[in-house]
Amino acid sequence: MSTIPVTIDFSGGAEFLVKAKAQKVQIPADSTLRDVLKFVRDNLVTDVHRINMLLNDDASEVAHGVITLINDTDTGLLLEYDTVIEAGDTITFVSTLHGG
Amino acid sequence: MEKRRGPPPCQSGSGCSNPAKIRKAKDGAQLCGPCFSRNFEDDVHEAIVNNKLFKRGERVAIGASGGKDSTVLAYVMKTLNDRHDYGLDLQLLSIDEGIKGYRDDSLLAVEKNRVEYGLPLTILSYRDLYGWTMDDIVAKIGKKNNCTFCGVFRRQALDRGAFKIGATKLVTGHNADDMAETLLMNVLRGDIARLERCTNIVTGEEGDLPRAKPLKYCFERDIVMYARTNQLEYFYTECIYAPNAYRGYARKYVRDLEKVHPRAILDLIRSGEKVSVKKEVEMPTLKICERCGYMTSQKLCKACLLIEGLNTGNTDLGVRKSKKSKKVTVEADELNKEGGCGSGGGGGGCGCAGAEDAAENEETRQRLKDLQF
Repeated sequence: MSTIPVTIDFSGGAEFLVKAKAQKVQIPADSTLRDVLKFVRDNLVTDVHRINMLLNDDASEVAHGVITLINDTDTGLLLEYDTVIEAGDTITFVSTLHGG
Repeated sequence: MEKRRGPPPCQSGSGCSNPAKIRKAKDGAQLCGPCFSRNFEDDVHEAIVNNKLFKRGERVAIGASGGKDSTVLAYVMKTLNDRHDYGLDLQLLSIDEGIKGYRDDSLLAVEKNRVEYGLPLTILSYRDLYGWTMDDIVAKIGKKNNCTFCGVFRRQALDRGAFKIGATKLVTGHNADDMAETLLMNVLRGDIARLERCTNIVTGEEGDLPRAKPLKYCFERDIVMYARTNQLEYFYTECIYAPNAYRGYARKYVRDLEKVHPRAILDLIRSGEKVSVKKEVEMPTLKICERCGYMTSQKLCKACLLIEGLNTGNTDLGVRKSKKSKKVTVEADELNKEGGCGSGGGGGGCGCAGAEDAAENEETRQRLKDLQF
């Protein structure tokens, strides 16, 4: 299966749940944002006890209060979870829950 | 390969032809970064003007914790003061609770704001004001009720700090989400006195130091996107002592409502604004603390009561309702209700259990009498 390079970026506190703030990874070609959520759960999350701060139980959606961006555009302005990821994209997860 | 649909154009209506990047949580508007920022600032300006929050020449203390809300508040206040010539003397005010690895780091973020925004900064510490740091308090009482101490102490500390720098108004970073949560909590607790005032944009107008919440109508998501768009650095580690109880439930509930219907947050706030308490409902009367002169509905203010407990080893004082009852009930504290523990922008509302039950408490009163201060 062919893969494409993407950058997955975590901020606003989400970076504490994973190994590194920004990670360059290879994901399967033709992945959608929904596929990326599962990829994140299976490959990037290190703090499994607090994974519910980032993703819902079956990783079908992000936890409430997490904003997802593709190349800095809110995925709500694209095709939400059906948005197809392209080579070189930066996918960002921004937590809004920490601090005040 | 299926092509990704591009974002729609910016809808700001100002002739902008950039692609939209942000969907404003409050009203769903699809905007590019610069138009979103301007739109957000215009919202805050409107709240300030419509409610006549400030007077020209006033010195305004900005409660600054280094977190997202107060960082955005400081930046927006400075931007609007310059843009619309409010003529305000803005100053940053921070409270050092004495939590190693948490507050000392977040104060570095405030220090950065001081330099970048060119605003004077004053820091007051719990150690200086009360003789106890939060680390000392947790070492003494454990992690269970420490949010009560922190909330009560911070509220007073901000007031004292504002007086110290000669401010006539204090602004805090409470946002729409915080306010909707607080409203729900007050309903759930039957705290009528706070229910009536918790959605006011200004409180304490009868006193010497009114408190205002210019971000009252700003959604948390939009505050985060505003900080991101303007590359504002803020501190976002959770308080190491914060338990995740009462406010946590209210928060989750509000978030779930928001998902189904984003306006739910504004509707909750509007409900709070429209609530009025019947005349026959007994409300606590405001008195002056016999020890420190701070306002209180009891003989001693809550901070003095808590300090008395710490200094005499009676650490249930002002925290537990009854020694007989096994169930721990945290009593009311203004700050946690209106704000939250350390992670709040002079409030803000982390998940901390904060406060419960503001009603007058016969047992506390009795215990006070027994103590014979």
